Amino acid sequence: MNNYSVELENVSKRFGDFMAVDAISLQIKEGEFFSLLGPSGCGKTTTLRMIAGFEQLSQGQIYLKGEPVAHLPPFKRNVNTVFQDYALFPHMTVDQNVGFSLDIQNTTKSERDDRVERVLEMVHLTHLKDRRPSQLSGGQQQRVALARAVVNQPDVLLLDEPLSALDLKLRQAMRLELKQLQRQLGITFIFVTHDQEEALFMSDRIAVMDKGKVAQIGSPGEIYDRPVNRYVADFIGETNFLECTVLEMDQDAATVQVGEQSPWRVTCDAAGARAGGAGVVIVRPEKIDIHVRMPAETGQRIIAAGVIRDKVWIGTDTHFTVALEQGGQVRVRHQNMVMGDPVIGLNTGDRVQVSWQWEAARLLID
Amino acid sequence: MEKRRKLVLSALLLPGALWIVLLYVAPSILIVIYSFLTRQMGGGVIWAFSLDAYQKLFSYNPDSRFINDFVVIFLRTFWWGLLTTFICLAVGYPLAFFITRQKAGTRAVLLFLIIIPFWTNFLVRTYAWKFILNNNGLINVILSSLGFRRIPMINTPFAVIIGLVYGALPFMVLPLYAALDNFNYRYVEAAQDLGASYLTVFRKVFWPLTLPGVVTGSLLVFILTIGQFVVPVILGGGKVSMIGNLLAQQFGMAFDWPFGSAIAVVFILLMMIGIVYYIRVEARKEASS
Repeated sequence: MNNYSVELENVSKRFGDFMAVDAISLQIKEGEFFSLLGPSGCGKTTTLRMIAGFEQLSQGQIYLKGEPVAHLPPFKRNVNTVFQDYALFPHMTVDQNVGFSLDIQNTTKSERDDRVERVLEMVHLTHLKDRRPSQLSGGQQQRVALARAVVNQPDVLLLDEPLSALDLKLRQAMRLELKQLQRQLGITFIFVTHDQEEALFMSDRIAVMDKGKVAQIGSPGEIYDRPVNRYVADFIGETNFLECTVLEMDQDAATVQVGEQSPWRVTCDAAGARAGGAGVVIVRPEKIDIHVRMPAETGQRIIAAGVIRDKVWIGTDTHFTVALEQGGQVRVRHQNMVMGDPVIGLNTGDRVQVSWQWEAARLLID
Repeated sequence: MEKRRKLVLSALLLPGALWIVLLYVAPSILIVIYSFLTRQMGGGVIWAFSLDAYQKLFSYNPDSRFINDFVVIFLRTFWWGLLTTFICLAVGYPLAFFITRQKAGTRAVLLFLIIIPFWTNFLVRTYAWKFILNNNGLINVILSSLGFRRIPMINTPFAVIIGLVYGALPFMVLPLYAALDNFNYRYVEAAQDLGASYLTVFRKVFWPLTLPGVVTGSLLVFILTIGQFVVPVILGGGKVSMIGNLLAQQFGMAFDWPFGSAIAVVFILLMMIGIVYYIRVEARKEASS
């Protein structure tokens, strides 16, 4: 026995010749906000549907609170789903929708009404309980779907891109609300999304999926700062990639060379790297500084010279694309903090220096 | 511009409107008028106002064999209409469900098979049933050759019900197919997810959401069936009449056109009560969703 809320053991799903989910294993802790993140077709929704019981497993086992459930139909699993299109029953009022799971059990009328009332309060919909789904806005429908799925206190709540149908402002507000709701209820949430920002914002841990496999599991910080490969680095946030040659390897640092210039020190996980091999250096755009002239005090910073290729001003930031002298180019995100900042006055064609703290750059081996 | 639009719309509506007025509204009005005229021996009407037909219809006389027969026929027609509707629903609902669950190609073939009988005259198809149900028909020949006793089927209510169900079934299956095909199975998943067993899913989600198709199909079948007159003659041997046979008798054999019209008028009114009720229920449902 273990104390995982949900455990996937070597789970696969094959549709004909297509491996939708390819032998994935996950352990999700009690009360965790866990996200499955990836582009469409990566198998995240299929994984969710197997946990819910809508898809049969081709192979493997799923455990809920340590009990194997792969053979159980959806109505025998204490797991509820918030569907992408909500799937609210159109012939029922909000009250009937939310009370559905209680009505089909032998819940007493007073307890049923009590619990429906409580969750409706939690999602601020008490005043709409006699409406039908078609009379609600998208955001309200979403809250009803949430209320309906938590009213019978499931062990796990599965959310299949529940925010994707909402407009940006509402989506941002709902992120916060979902997170608060999860803390309040203490239920394990498994959240499927293709929106990396959403996943970073809400999750305790994220599994980044790629072609039916888990590419990386970790906290948002780990995934963002220490991606294990080019796919994860590329999918999460914006990254600069610079092809390089590995000169020397240490425990968790390496010396690499980009072009013919003096070598850089970068961080790395030793796995797969060897001196003389090829690799790629990643640096996030917000971690790069741009200088009008060579900075006097460099300390531990890596400095490279280049020419501005492109400049976009977007209010909070200015984005530069700088072609490096040693080859390759980097995007730089410069925060517009100081009025009259000479950097903001730079233009396409200007020669500049870029720099970053050496730990900000990371070596990946493909 | 607005005027022109209206003109175009009117022009588009004209053929349909003419069709309905000439072929449905005008004859109906004529029937109502006939029912208030005087009977002419040998058929037709004398254009003089008279309430004879309605008096004959509503003056209940325990000694009059005809009136007793009339009430029985009326009730029998409704009963058979309900029975046929129920059987068509019981057969058609699973059938329509089965068809919607097939692959697109299979589905087209199955729907085609349901429509094919319409290519042959209904009269001919009903005679075919006579051939099947006869004492020397297909079923009885097979039964006797297997050493069983023959079962008399032709000229019984059983044979009539078979004929009625056979004739009406496509009119149940097609609307049901449309309703079931539009059903979003995500609702089934949602209900199961919330703990509903298969039976509960059907009772609380599937059935209520496909009910409009059930109502449409049932109404079609019921109206079609209670107007039947061929089936009771051919498969019932004229022993068990329905309203349609009674009407044919009054116009064709008794030559009492006003009385026949009065029966038709009462029949139409009863039907209309049912339909108006249905429309109001539907309208209320529409308004609340």
